Amino acid sequence: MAKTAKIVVENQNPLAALQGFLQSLLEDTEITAILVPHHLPGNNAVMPMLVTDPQQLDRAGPLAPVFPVNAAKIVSKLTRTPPGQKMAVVLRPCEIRAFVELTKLNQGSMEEVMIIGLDCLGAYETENYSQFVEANQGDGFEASLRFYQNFIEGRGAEGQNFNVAKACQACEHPSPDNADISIGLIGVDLQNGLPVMANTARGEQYLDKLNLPQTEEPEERKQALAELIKKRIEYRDRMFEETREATSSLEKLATYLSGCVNCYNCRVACPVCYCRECVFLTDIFDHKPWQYLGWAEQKGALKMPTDTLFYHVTRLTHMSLSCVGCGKCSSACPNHIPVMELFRMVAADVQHAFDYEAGRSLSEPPPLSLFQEDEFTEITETLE
Amino acid sequence: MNEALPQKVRLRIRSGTIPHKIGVYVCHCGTNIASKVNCAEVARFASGLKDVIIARDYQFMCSDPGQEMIARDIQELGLDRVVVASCSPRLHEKTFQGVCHSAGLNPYLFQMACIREHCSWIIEDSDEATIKAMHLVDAAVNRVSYHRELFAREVPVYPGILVVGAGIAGMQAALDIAEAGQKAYLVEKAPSIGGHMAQFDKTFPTLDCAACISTPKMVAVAQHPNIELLTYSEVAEVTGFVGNFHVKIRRKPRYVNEKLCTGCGVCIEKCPVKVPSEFDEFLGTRKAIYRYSPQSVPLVPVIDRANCRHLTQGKVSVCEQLCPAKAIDFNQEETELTIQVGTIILATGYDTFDPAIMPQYGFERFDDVYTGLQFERLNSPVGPTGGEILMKNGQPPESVAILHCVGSRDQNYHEYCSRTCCMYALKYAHLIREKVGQDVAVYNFYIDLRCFGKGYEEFYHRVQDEGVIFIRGKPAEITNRALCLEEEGKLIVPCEDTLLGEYLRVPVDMIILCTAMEPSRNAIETARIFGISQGQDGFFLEEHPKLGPITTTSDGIFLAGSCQGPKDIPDSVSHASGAAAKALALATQGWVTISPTTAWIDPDICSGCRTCQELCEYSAIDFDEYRRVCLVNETVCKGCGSCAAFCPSDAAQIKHFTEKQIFAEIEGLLAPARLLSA
Repeated sequence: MAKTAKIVVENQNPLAALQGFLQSLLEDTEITAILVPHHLPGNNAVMPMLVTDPQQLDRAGPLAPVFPVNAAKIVSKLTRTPPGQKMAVVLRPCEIRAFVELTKLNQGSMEEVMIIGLDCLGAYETENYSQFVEANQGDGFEASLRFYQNFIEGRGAEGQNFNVAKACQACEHPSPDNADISIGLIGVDLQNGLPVMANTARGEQYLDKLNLPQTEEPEERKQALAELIKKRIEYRDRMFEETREATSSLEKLATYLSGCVNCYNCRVACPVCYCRECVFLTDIFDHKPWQYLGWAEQKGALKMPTDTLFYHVTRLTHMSLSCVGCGKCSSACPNHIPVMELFRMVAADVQHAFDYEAGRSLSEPPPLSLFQEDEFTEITETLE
Repeated sequence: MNEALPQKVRLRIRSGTIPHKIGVYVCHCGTNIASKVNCAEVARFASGLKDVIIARDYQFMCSDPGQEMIARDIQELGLDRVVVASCSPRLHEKTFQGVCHSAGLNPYLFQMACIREHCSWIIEDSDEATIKAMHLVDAAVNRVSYHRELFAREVPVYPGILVVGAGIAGMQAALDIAEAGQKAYLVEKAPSIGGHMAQFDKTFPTLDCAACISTPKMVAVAQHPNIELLTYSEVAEVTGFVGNFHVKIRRKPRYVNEKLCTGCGVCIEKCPVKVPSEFDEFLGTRKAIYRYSPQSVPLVPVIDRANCRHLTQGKVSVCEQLCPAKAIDFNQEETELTIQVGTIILATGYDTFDPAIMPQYGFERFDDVYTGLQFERLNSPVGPTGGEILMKNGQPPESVAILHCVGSRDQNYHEYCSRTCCMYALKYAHLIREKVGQDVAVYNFYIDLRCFGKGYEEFYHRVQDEGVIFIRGKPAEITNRALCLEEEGKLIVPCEDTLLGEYLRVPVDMIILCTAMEPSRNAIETARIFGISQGQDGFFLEEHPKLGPITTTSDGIFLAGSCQGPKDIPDSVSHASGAAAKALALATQGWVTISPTTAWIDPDICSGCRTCQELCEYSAIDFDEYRRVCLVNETVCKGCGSCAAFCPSDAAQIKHFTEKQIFAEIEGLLAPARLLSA
């Protein structure tokens, strides 16, 4: 299973090489459709595209430093009931990990999808990406290559006056470890081609059909990854510290979230918020006028809309065990509340408490689906 | 109203705009509540709450006039919601729901606020208690607005009754059921029925022989046509609900064909393997093929798989070759059968405390320290010594110490009293002097003597008069370190006689430890299989300590004998007959009502994550593959709420405990309440 092949890169253009690799998957294997980020014609927006015609892959943009949507939710839609066809999906590590969570929650299936993961260099917020493309003659493909060049030449992911999203800077999972096939980008010398690693039997089976030349995983990649992860963990821990301070009391937490207008964008953007109808949209929170007036009378003044703090705390309760830290919540917030920082911090604590890591493995059941009598005895014993 | 709106929306508007008519009734409970809570003031407070049109206080709301007052208001004032603030709903919720029902109001439009157990009984300050009562009433009023009509269902009750455990309690229950003409399935995990009572020699206080009174019962059980006896069997799984339980029973292989075996015993005689006997409390030995006890029912022997040399090492099977009936069958395997019963009686009994945990008493360290049950076997004519009370060296003791409360009434082990030890200790004292000689010195070391049963106190006086010595005090240890010549070669009991205030050292030959009765070693597993609870002491929890000592919180599952708490034989027998009566009542009635407060999953909201299915202890949730949503089987659901607690979208809800209702209750609790006088 530790099989590694090589995608040959010509003219220093890894993007064309990747497109070619995807094309051969459609042409030479039983895979009939590929979900991959795609540069939309007309503007430079990048959106997931479900491609069945190999010719259409010429606009595929697996290197584009942006992902307006966490595609785990889309893969969930494609696999919630058996699709009956073999598919490949090109996902970022955070998307893969979110899809692992969704699969465990019976919202999707890995049965008929082959997951292709690329080393993730991070992604810009959507508006920053547009600026970045502008700065590169308005060409999304050029911009992607430039971003990659910057990165491998040690100039990091920095653009002009902005960096990749904070969630990406704090992400300790740049490597797509639980993809069927992972493609190395970090610490890779393009002269030697891109290493393609099969991590599962299925990945190996497909790789075999493509007759790619054999290679070894480059040592440099491991080193570069380790360095990158170290840097990101430092950033993450600093972020946790600041967030902990900013939310250390109920009052501070309320202030932190005071910009919330109950638009619920964060949960729409969240890949692991899988409810068909959020409980905050049900009649439970459909309060009567006399209730609002009663609360106002009790407190003398009532901030509207109500239930904002309650909403975030509830969402933390519901999904922090599955939070993969993709940061889409923050990106979606119209009032720039640092939602990701709060959720990642709480998720880290909660997942640590259950010795669980969202997206780590399909074989680890979600902790709340198990009833264990001997769990948290340090708490239960004090109750006796 | 806009008729163009969808029905659901219109209903929602209507329910919000048409005010309810709520009646609130505050009970004084004599002085139980009124001595702390100003009930009139609570009623005045309630009358100002939203939609409350009448609020009254009264001496005893549960009395006939109290109930009539509520019923009259429902009919005359057209109340559509009722709140009673009184004792715990566990006591009188059914009473007041009944009042509502008889007055034509759906009983689920009622809510009870507990202002006695949760308020007047636990709060010192009167004003504080009154304010808390107001909060509790506000919560109930706020909640009851969101109550919906619910309807209980009636389901048929299967006539068969399962009795688990065939000690004296289980046998009594099975016989009572069989005598009433109903079918009983009696499951026993040991190879024979009889339980602990079969180990005893004499029974207190009448000293009649235990075998003489229990053996006929064992035989009657085996012969009764209405009893299906399943020995050497264990219940593996219970599904279903009151009236309709499916019970999976595992039958262990005896390796002896019960139909062919004549019980001649040649196999036992010739078996070359000797192992310590469980029935003799490891004082004697038995063979690898053995009868559980000399009076075993059924008489068919059983081969102990772990010790049989044929089964473990493939050696020659002597029993198989010598059996004249060709009944030995090594091909037997564990079998499973499923039965359908309407109710279940648990009579799984107790185990005894292992005194080795208390090293100061030297059990297993000194030869002649025995447990009570071991002494029963020493005393038995079919026991290891043929009924002679002998020490390990083969000599009769000249002096014996009996230590009461070993593991009982001891905060380090069991806080409770085992209720039987005082009496059997007296019995031992009498039997030792009767058998070994009136010159034997018998010392009882006791904390209190609790001789509360019929004829017990009289027996105590009789034993006292016989010259048995009673020392009030708990021995610190048992030692063999002699301090003087007369202690040489003896076991010494150092103890303070708390009546005389003197420190004593009593040298004796033999010690008997009156070990505590404990919950059966399998109690946790049994509780899990049958879905019942254990109390803090580990014994199975009854529904109510006084008014429901037989029923459990699981409908249709009853308790008999010492699985519910330490009991002597007469108490176990009465408890068992009570359990049989409870089970028979349902069996003969033929139907039972099932609470409608079960879970419900809204298929329009359910995401089909199936987590609730994994969490459901009762396997009450199915997955609809076609619609990809979870569904609750309401006949199996017990309304525990695990599913609703998890479900993030609230698709799973418990009827009568919906989030809307609970949030309303919390809001009511948090709303301000003030004393009018303040």
